[in-house]
Amino acid sequence: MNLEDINIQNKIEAYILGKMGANEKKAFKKLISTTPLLKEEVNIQQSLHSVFNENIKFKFDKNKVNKIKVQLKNNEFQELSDHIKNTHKVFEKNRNNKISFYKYASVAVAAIFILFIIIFNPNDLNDYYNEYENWEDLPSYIEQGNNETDNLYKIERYYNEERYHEIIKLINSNLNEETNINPEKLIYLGASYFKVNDTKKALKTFDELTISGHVLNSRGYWYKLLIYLKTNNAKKTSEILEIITSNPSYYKHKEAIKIHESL
Amino acid sequence: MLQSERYLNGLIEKDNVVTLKIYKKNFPKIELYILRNNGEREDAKDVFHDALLYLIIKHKEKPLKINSFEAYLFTTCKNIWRTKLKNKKEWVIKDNSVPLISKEDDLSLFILKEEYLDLYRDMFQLLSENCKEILGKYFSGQSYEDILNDLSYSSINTVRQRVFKCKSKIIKLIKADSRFLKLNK
Repeated sequence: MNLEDINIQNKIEAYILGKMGANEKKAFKKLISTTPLLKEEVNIQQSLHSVFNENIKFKFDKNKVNKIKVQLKNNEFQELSDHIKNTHKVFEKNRNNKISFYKYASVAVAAIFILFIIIFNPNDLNDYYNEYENWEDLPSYIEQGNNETDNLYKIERYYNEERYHEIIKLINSNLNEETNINPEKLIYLGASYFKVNDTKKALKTFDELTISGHVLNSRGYWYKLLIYLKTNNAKKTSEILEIITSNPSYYKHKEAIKIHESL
Repeated sequence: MLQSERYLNGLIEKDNVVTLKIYKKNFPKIELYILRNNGEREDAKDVFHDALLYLIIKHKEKPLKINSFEAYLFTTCKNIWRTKLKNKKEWVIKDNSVPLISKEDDLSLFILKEEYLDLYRDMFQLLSENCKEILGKYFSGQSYEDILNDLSYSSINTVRQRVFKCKSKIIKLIKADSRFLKLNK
């Protein structure tokens, strides 16, 4: 078989990308199983696809997997594995002792302690910001299909293209004419202010969002939290965390609890 | 001696102090990552264990020269966790679709996959810039039409021929590499 043949290559491609009909696929599979060189070629190409494309599966030879499994079962690795597992137990024990100690502390003392830590470790707030910031995950309008779609889609597109000043200009020119504030627009406006380092206006915009009464309003607290984390504002961080963590229905409630607990 | 070497050698020698230090410094961060990405505390424990074992295996094979042990360990944990999540859905074992997934399977598959990926990535880097560009697009799922529009080729047929030639090149490189021969023994 000539693997350089364009027809064979087309078939390999169709097979890997799932573009073969059932009968053709069955026949090709049979051909693969009886032609070692073709089998090798298909495996390499399929693996190459999977390096770049998560939707393509990586195929393995069971024997090779078993060979590694056997290697992992030898005494040397088993001893190393046991050593790691034992260290984990020691680590957990130390950690639990620490947690028990904190159980005796009062909530008020803990809160003061958290605030103290926040104030005296301002860089830590930035670490949390880096870990939790989700400015690339704003609501998407592409699928929504209301009268505003075109305008909102444009704003989203500008945002993805980092054209923040244009977003600010576009939304502000419309805001003056609107009687009802559109919360989605406020989110993009606030995020754009933040992206151009105008945190004062960003905070003001998110304040407007929190009082909009819309289902998206709790996002305003989260975005304010991100800004306070980024700007190392310990006092405000603490205040906003209190608000989000005491309302289970609020956006990113779980994440806020994690931040609160970690602090 | 680099800090990473001290850590890796400490692990290999089963040094309790060094291993506990690695846990204290790194585990909470990795646990937080797993919890935030559809995992449980037990998953974090397994991933961390597998990552340390993986680093030991690699270091014993060929001493690792790592600038930041923490960053390397974190990336390894992330890759292992992504592999585990994928395993739960779709690992396919060639010629024999066996229902997986034991903990040993996870680590074995990860080790094998990393060996192939290292090889493929290295061979990809040996291609011309033009081949890298066109194959990058092709393998990530772009259609010939999209590539034609993106790269301004004259026709679909020209794109097909170019993809075909570049694909042949990388496959030849892969087959000629000693690692491929070793993997296919």
